[in-house]
Amino acid sequence: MNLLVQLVLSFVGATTAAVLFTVPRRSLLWCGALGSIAWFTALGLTQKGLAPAAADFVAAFVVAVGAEACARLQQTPVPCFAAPGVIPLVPGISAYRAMYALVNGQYPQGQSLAFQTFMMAAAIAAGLVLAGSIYHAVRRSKTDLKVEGSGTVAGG
Amino acid sequence: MVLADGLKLHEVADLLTLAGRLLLGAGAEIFRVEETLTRMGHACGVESVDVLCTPTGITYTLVHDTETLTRVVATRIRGLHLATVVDVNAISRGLEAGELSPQRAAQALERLKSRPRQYPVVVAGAARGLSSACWALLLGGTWADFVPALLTAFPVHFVHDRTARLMPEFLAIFLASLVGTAAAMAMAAMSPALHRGALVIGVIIPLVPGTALTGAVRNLIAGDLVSGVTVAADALLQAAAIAAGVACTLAIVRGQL
Repeated sequence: MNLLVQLVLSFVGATTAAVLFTVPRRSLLWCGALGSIAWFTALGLTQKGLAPAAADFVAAFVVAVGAEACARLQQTPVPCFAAPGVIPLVPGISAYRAMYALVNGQYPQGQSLAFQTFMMAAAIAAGLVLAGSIYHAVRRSKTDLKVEGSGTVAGG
Repeated sequence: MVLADGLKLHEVADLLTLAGRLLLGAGAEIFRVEETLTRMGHACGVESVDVLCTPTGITYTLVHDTETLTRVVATRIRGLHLATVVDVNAISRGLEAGELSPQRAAQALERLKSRPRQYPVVVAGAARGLSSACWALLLGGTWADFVPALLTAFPVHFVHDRTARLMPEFLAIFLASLVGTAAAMAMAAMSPALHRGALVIGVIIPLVPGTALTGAVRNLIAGDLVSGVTVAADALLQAAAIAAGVACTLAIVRGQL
């Protein structure tokens, strides 16, 4: 499929997912942009020969960094951007194929597809964790220098 | 030492209860509830504020001079509403910056409580349709699948919207996934030009628990293991519910053929 069409579809697909997540209106277009970035990052890396799970890991990391930046820019919680942003990475195809194989009694194939799905989902979570914890650590070290022991400080 | 604007400690507690209920009910991360309430308490001039939040309730203790006040607020997540989280955050920031008096903040929070949903059901349904169509196309479909994928979203949205308030989220998602897959299979059976797999994928992608996943991750990063694991379990249950819905329909259809 044409790249421009893919750009439009991934943008609209992520924006509409953001509507379903009840993201405020002024943040919707940013969610769409993050969705397109996620889609093309994962696509590009897969075409370069990276395993799908590895591509999802990197793409989720990129989305999480973008979501932290958007959150700071718009004074809006990070999940508003991160949740729709990772939607393009969701392993829908392998999840469906796994279910199909399992229901049809093709257990070895179903098992490996299910495991692949699980690996991709875990990779998305790992990408989010890595970006989030780096951001958290940086922010923590900055606030600790400014105010000593000001109670719990957690990510914005 | 007196509290700001001649406030009583119980009035501060009422304000925190209101904000906490709104935040937790709208599906905010647990650490956000704790942090926001702590900040609001300090902004009102309370010397010591300790908040403990879980997915089903909030406990806090306010200590000021010789007075101590502890409250347990039992509440639960009533459905995702990120826009409310954003607005409560803005009110809390205004209170901290001194732009809002505690009374004004309480009024603003009360208004949030009774406001309508950010997106009407029709808009959300249309969004689900477009989303389904886009992902069906990107994940293995062709242009022929666009309109059928759009149409499958409406039974899904109807079922999810009607059942979400009656049962836990993962059961509502199971039913929605079941109905959606059935609709997709029925569409695919009508024309050989359609891709059954792409239509089903279009149904399941917008059901994916994205906010539960990110919420779990963020709770864990913040060091909140109890809430992190609870929310992660919720995300897993929802994902399993989608898979179970698809599998049930596939199994039934297979038995028919």
